[in-house]
Amino acid sequence: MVMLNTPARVFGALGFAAAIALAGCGQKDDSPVTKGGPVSLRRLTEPEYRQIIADVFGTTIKVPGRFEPDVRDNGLIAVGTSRESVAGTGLEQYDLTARGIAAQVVDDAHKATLIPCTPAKVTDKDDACATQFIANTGRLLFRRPLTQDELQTQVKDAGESATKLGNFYSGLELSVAAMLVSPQFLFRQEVSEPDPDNKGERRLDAYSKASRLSFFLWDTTPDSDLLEAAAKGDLNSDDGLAKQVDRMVKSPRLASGVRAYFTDMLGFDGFASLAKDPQIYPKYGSAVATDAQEQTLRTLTDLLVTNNGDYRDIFTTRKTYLTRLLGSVYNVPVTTSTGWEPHEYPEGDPRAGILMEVSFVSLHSHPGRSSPTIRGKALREIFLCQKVPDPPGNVNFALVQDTKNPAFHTARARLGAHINQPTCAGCHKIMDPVGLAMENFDSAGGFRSTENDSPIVTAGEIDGMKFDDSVGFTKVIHDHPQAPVCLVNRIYSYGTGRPATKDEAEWLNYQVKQFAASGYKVPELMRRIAGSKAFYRISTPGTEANNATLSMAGTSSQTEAVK
Amino acid sequence: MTGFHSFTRPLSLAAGLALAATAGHASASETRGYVVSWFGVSTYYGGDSDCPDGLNPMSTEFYKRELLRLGYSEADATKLLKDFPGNPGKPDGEYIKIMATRGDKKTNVYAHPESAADPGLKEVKGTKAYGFNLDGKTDSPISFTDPDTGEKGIKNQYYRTLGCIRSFRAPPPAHPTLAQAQWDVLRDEMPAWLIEVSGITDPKNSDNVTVTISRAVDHVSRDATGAVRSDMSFKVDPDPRTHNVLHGSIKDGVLTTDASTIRIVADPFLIPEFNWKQARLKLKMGDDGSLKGILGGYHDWYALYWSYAESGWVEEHSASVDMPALYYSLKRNADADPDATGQNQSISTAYEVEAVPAFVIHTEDKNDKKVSDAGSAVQPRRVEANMGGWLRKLGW
Amino acid sequence: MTMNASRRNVLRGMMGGAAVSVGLPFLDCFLNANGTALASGAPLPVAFGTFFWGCGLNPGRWEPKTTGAHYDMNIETQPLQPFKDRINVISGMKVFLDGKGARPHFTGEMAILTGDVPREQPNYASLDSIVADTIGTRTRFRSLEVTGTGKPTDSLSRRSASVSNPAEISPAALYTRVFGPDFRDPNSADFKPDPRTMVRRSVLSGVTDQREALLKQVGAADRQRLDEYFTAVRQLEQQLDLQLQKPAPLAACTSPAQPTDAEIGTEIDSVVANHKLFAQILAHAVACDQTHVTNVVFGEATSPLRKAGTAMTHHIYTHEEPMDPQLGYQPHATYFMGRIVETLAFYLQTMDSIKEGDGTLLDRSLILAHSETGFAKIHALENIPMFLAGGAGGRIKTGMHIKADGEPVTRVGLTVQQSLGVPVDSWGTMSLNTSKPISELMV
Repeated sequence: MVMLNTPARVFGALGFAAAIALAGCGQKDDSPVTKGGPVSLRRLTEPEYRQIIADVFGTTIKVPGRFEPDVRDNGLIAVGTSRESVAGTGLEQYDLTARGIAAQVVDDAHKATLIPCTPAKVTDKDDACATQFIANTGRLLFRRPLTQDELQTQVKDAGESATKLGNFYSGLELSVAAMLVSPQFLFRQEVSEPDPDNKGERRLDAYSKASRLSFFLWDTTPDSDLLEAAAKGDLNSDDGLAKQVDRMVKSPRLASGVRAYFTDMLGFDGFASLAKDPQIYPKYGSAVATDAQEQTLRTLTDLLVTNNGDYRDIFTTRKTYLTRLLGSVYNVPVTTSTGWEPHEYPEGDPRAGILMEVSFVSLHSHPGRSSPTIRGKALREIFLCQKVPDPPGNVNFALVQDTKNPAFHTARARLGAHINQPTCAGCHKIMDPVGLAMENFDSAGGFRSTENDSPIVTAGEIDGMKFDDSVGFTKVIHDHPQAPVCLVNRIYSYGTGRPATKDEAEWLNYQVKQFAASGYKVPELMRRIAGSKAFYRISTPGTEANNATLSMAGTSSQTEAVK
Repeated sequence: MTGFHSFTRPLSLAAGLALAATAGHASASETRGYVVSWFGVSTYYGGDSDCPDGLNPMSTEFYKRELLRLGYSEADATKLLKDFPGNPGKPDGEYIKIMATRGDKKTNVYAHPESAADPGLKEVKGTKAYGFNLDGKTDSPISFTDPDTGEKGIKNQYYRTLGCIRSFRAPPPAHPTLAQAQWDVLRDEMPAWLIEVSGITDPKNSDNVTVTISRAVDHVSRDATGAVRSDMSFKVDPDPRTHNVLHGSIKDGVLTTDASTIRIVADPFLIPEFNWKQARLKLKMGDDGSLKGILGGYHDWYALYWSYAESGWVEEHSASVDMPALYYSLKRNADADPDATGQNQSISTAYEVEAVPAFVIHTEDKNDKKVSDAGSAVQPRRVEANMGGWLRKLGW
Repeated sequence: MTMNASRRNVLRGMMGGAAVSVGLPFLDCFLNANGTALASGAPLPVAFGTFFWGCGLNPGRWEPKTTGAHYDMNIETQPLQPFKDRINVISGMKVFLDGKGARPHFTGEMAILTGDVPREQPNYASLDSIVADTIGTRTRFRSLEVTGTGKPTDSLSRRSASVSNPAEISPAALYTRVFGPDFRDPNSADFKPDPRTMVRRSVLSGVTDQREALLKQVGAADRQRLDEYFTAVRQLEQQLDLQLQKPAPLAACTSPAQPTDAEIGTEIDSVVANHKLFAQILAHAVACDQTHVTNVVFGEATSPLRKAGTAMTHHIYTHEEPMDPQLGYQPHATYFMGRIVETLAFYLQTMDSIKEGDGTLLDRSLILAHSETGFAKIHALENIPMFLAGGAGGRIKTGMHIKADGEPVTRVGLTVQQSLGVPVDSWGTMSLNTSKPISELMV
């Protein structure tokens, strides 16, 4: 097994100053200068929508209706948001949801707390109170203060609705509903301005910075403090920005942001349509799927946020959390009746890390059996940012079928043909050995040592690194140089809503080095990114064409660099 | 290779803040935990040979019979039963009040079945039944023969009473409707029942094992097929009322226990609690880790009667169990513990038991959800009848 | 920012009054006495639909043995035999890749519906959307999408590269959406416009009034996406306008029964059961003029259909099941194909059972039923099964088997567009570009 101390230099960047600056309040950003990327227009995702409603109106507001599905691009829903718009059906649903929320905002249970002023006469309009409410609520929903025009129009509409319907609150109800279907709410529109510190360059304006910052660190709309800081111009100074970043990184809400990132990166939206055959896997079910996702998110936040641990340990950690229900799937005793308790796999247990938690192995399997190929592909794409090519058209699978002995006992035997056929081996060599290392875990995440009475062998080799069993495999992935590189690139993409540009490669390489030097600590990485100039730099119009995006692909060339 | 294999079978564990003392196991002996997934009265189904006199009538039939006996005309009786089952207290349920005092027209017949004459329950005449030879006699006239092993001298008078009532008959693998209906509710409503078997040196043959039957704090969970979920964790309820430690042995994969009293707190929907004397277990230990077999012993027959009659008309009409007939039959078939007048107080019974693997956890963590110190956390099921009699008998 | 004063003021003026006649030009349809045509004399509107399934059929068992008119259905399409005179079978067509990679269970349907082979994400609007722009602008719903295997993202209907129309997964939810509280029964006697709807309509136009100003603020790349959003708002406004109008009576319009969903998932019996419910709702929706365009995805392209209690899906069978030497096909895989074709027949039957004057709903519909591969086992992109069912109100000839070996699949899409009046001369990108509709079918 090859131990690697430094991350591979992936993109062939030129040499740069290896100043390792520890991030902190008021430190200068020594990273390479970038040209930035375009401003983005990103549609809210369903989880973001729900979180915003909870943050603005409180957690007792129910969010009815169905949402237009989020789309994944370049491995992230966060990047897909920059591609999406809203279709007629989607807007119908947004409208229904908006009306449902608005009705609750003005109902007896909520109006005292959410609408602090009272109208002169309930059966009539009241412009003063309406103005106050709409201005405050609008600022939080639109992520910036309303313009004079916007405010006037809305107050006028609220007044007319109130008059027509004979109720002040009905007027406000309709104005909340309208705000919730407005593009200023549904789309995170970024605005750029000239950068006074860099003549000829551009940067995000203060409110756009606040938005990007808040969604990155906390996955929600900017809170009042952050909007204040934007209004005062604080976010345009290094110190002012660092102060807000510090506040947000130190807050317990950082864990929500980390959870949101990993929920996206790990593709947990796939659970919504995941089904297992109940006859074959009676222990699996939607409650187990829900718990399984939560387990992984707790494993991650516990390791990365609460204990500020090494990112790479996500593959090898033996510490996790279980519910009683999960106990029946993992076949371990769990004392607590409801809720979570910490659990540590004992020494010698074949399970380690999040790759062998139910959430990973069950999501990447068929309804009735496991799939080394799917799991191998998932690991490569999700954790190593390596794109596996699609199978070619018109492949003759008849070659793969051994008609003399159709009964292969184990997946390794079944997939033998993948490896032995030259047309198939090229790609399958990339996926199958990875997935075969996890074959002790069936499609529902349960452990097994045999399949059809034949022992399961998990020894193998990946990218030149050998391992004897599943735990050895996790150590290999832990040490894989591509893993931290992939995380840095991907979390940056998540924050900006786009793949990185070629111009940003040098900066990203620098961040990877910083990440390694810091001990692969994720909150620190997020702090450095959130406090950097690069995160907010906007390319000048006309330079977009020159800023071709970096693809995350790279297969054999990458693995050779490892050796 | 004991490392990770120790987690492939649920074990009884000492966990939590304080450890319950468990008898020191020899390093080579194992404890296995189970949760009961099926519990129902064992009524052997032999087809027509069980009830050569025919099956007991449906409730509509015996209600009609009673109305006629009470002097109603055919036409009136038919009219009273026109909207069967009807609603108690409403005009279409007029017959219900009449049936409730059908003995002497004033006394509640469920609480005082001797106010009515014995209608004569049709009883089992077959020769086969599951159970145990509780009194050791093989030549007694009430003996059955075990259908599987051929063992003679099986005592199961409870089956003799119940076996020709329709709702207690079903060809395997189906369970009789009443037993199934009761368990369907109980399984989820009441805390789980646990079985631990410790001292296992060889899962097929072990001379000296201890079997503990206790109740859990937690309820069972179900899996995706609706069956009781395997490998779930259960905390033992420290309530001493359900804590039975039996001695037994395993031969050729079958676990049997020595005679003992067994007390299990249940739920008034079935019976508030079971109290068996000279009770034994015989359970086959499956390769999949399950248990399947029977529990047999002598039980107070009046308690069994009352477990049906307490709901009065409700169970009588829906399961077609003629309560006075049941009373007299149980009284007649009771076969142990004679009182001063020579009337037997106990009746031989057998129950089917199935269990799946579970983690049985002994903990004294007071923060876990637990049964409170006195009494039962179980909410008695609301029934529309007179509960007084038997509760007074118990001193509650 | 100036407001679009005139339109808003018109609407505001209405709010003081009672009944609203918005007087927008497109709502002038009333039926003639027989219910066969509009009062103006124009025939009942044509309806378009798509029906898609993954993993194709067995080559040699679905193509009719003879070509031209008077063909007979082959073994696998026997359930369609009762409709053969109103169905055109098109065999032999293929997808040209122009050197691009073929993504299994993706490229085939992209070529047929968007005329393009995308490298990553789809690049163009789908055929039904193009058609809806011509025939679907005056209905409450521009189109309705359904899918049988439980994922709203399985819809193939997209307005553009970035906007797709998610599909309904639940018949009960579709019923509520179409025939629920917002349904305006064309045949009901009384009608009162709801003041809340009027107010909503007015407030919503405040949103659209910002369109120009907002579009100016975003870059070129994002302008189109924002515009698509505003198009969606216009559609919502239109729905509200229709709710404020008394709808024209329609003799064939009845509300279907409120359905109870079968379990939503991949188990084949439930999938078929839900499709039967969908078929009812969609047919009634068209008969009641709630939409002119319907899109049915039998199941996602990778066909995860399975029988209860089994691990193997339709898709896996197509790759791994050995060919039965006696039968000459894969029995388990073929079982699923059979269920799919039966379901297609059910859809057609449901449409055919709605009588409209002398004809049926099927007579004024055009359904493109197609898969994405000619032979799933090897992901072949030749000989992809395609059918055109229904008379399209006389706009297309029917009852033919067109054997078009080696022809690009886009000829079908072009034929559809031209028959339905979309002003287009050619369609498709690179080698899929064609300007030749299937002349045998053109009227």
